[in-house]
Amino acid sequence: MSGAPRGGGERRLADGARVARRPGVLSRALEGETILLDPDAGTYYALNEVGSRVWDLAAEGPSVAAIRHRLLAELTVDEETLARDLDDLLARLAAEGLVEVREPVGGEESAEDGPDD
Amino acid sequence: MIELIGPSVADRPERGIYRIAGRTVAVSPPLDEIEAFRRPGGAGEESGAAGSIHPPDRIDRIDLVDRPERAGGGTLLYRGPAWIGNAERTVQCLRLPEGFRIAIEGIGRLAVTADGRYAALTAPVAAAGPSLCTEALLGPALILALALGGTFSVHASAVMAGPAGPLVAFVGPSGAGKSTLARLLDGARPGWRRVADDILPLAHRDAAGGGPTAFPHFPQLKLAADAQPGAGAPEALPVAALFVLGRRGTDGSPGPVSRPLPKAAAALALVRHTASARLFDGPLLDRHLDLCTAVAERLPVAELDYPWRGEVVPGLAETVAAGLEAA
Repeated sequence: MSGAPRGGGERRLADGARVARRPGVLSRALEGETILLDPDAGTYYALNEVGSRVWDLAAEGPSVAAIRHRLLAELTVDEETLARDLDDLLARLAAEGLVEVREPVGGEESAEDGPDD
Repeated sequence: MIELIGPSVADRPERGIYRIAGRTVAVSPPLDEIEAFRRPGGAGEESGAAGSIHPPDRIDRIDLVDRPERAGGGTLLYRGPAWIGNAERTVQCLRLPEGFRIAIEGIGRLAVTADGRYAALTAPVAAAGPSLCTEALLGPALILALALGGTFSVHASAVMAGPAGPLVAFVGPSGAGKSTLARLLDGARPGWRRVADDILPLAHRDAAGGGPTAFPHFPQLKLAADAQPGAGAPEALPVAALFVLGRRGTDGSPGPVSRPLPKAAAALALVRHTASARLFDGPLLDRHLDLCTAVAERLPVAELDYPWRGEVVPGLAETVAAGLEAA
């Protein structure tokens, strides 16, 4: 899979971008959902089951492509829909300061364009 | 024990010993507002404790948190508006190595040590009268001190459903109808009694084999000193169910509507309605989140809409009783 924009809209995050939870953000899992609390901003959020899985995976600092591949293996969803929804979710999490996204440099993107496990 | 030190301690070195939220609280000088929670027969302990902890020592410890030269240091936890003393005031909370320093516009400065054992109003402004000082001391200072000891205070009213509980709590923001609801349910069924009107301290007592526990002995400052609903109630009560008050029902609505809340939404409701949470630092928020998730996991939590009319009391009582049975 390439990192180029596809399907119903332009994606904001490159496949090789690394996603990590922002240090200090607190989280708790509850019946498949996750609540997040940002102590700096005093704001809190709830993630549904898929969002919770993304949050779990982000603990390992994976690439966007690696998250997508893991979810494709776990969920019944077409790849294009998943790619779009994942891009939306990660962009929102980043905008809220809940995750940090590090864009790929040099040839990092192609190296990360597949499952990492 | 928690020590609360008011602004005029130098003039009135005596103190009162109280039981508040399951803790022994020494207050200097004694406050009429919490007379209902004064420890019966506590004179012996009072004189003994006064001999072992001399007031100037306590002040010295508090002053560690309150040195003017430290004003530029520490971590800013919050700066913004808060509703204290019937007015919106700017509040600033700094976390210093020794504890928390909270400046409240028009009232003064509070200091709370990191272990939550000492809290003081150290620099009251000249215009702040005694009632404002008391509200700051028994509000943010006491609530933060209790939280540092693991007891978190939630914006809630509560009704106990028998002489030893359990208790049902109604969580919600100001204006959601917490007080009205608890008053409507007071006596609606045999043994039902209102025990909290506005603030309810909660803790999770897994270590003692219990679950979420409420502590009704807490000053409800909106009410007169001789009308405290928690006075005379047991000090600790098991919590059976929580209702989160939603939008107010319309006058034409037929009766109360209760909808179970998913666990994450229930935990978030508790987070949202915890008093003085903006003053918490990261480790305290972490413990707070533990309590909110534990309560949400252990208890049935439902969203409740109800019309504020006396004739809906039977339906309300039935809804709440069903919540109790579900527990």
